Amino acid sequence: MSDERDAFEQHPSALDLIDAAREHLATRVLPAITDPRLRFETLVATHVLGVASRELSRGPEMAAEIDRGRAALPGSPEGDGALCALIEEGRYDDPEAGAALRRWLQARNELSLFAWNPLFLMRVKG
Amino acid sequence: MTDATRPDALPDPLRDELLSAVSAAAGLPAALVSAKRLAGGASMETWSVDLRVGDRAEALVLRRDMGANMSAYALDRATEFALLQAACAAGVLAPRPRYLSPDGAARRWFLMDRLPGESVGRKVVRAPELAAAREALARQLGEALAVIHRVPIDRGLPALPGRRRALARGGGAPPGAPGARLLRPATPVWTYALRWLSARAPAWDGALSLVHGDFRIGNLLVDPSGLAGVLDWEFAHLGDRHEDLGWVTVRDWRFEQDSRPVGGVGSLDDYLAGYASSGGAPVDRDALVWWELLGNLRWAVTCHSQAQRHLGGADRSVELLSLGRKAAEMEWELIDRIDAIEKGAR
Repeated sequence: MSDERDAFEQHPSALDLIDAAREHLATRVLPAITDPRLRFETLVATHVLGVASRELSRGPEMAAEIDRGRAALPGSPEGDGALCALIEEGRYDDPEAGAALRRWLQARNELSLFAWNPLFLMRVKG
Repeated sequence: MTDATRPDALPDPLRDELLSAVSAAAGLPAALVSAKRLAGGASMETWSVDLRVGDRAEALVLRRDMGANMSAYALDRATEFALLQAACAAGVLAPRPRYLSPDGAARRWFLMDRLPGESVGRKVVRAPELAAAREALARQLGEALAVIHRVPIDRGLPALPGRRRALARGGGAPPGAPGARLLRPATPVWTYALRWLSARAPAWDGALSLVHGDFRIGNLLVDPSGLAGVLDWEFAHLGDRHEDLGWVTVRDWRFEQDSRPVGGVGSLDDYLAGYASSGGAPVDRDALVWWELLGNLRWAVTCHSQAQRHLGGADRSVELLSLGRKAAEMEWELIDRIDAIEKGAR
């Protein structure tokens, strides 16, 4: 990381703030809630803060990986819109191109699942 | 008595409207004993309601429209009430509908019998007290679906939407796909899956059946003796019966019991044996898998549309918002299954 970028970083970081809020909900708020509906909603709120935290922790790396992988696909699409257009034109109908597309789609799904539900990923990948 | 079970937990105008309608229909005085709001679907308000009608105690469930939050694909309550009447008359295991709101009600509702049993998916697939019930459940699900699909559609049913196979004809939204309008702008996963499915739509003889439209663990009541009732008929329509057959096999309705492909409770063989034993027509297994995959796409699209309800401001809810990210689970499953099929074909 460059010194220039360091100069613009905030302390505590966005990640620190999210993690603190998640910890507060999990350790202070949730144990005090007796209403089942409110408890469920607060569990969801705690979970989504965890999702945001995991995603931010790998965000730039994830975005770069997705872009690199897409650009390397047959037809070298530059974005999701271009890729959708190529799919609709039949560019990935042949077995080899289709297999390459599915590998990229699944790598992207895995990155999403790393943030959303790492346990799901562990379960389905064995 | 907690606040949630006090009679006045029902809003006063609704309570008055309900008691007036019940009293008029029964020809007896009606009184509210207790009411409790239940965790319900995203487009329906559901209450557990206990009434005294004359000298009789009645245990009921109230289903009520949620106004602006109604899905464009959902039946109105009067149609659902009439459908339940016809389904029960045909021998379908479903709660008996009892009282319908008056025509002028601002938000329509109906009351139906409250059946015993558990409907929460995670409990149905795990609760120790339901272990014996689960042994027979896949077969019972097949049996119940066969009874639904044998309901005569040319007499006794209210007018239902017919979701033809628009996808098989090469255009339009996938049949039975709430939220399909959100396919534009599409994501690469949806675009690819839709193209793949469109090219492989199974042959269909065009025979229309009564399709429940949301037949899955979570919408089924299970008690220790097995399947006790089929709930949540709001997405019923006329269509290809394989839609129902495939929907309950979608991974998310297994509630993490992945080794049991039918709703996390049993095998496909038991399920289809139950379907055949109850008079279900022969099942096209390729069509079942196609509808299962389409079901994953449908559920992924629906998850995004639920998040949009929050983002658009119509219904602010962190739960709805979070569903937008849950779509990744169905998208992973879709690509994994398509990849396995493609590798098998090569």
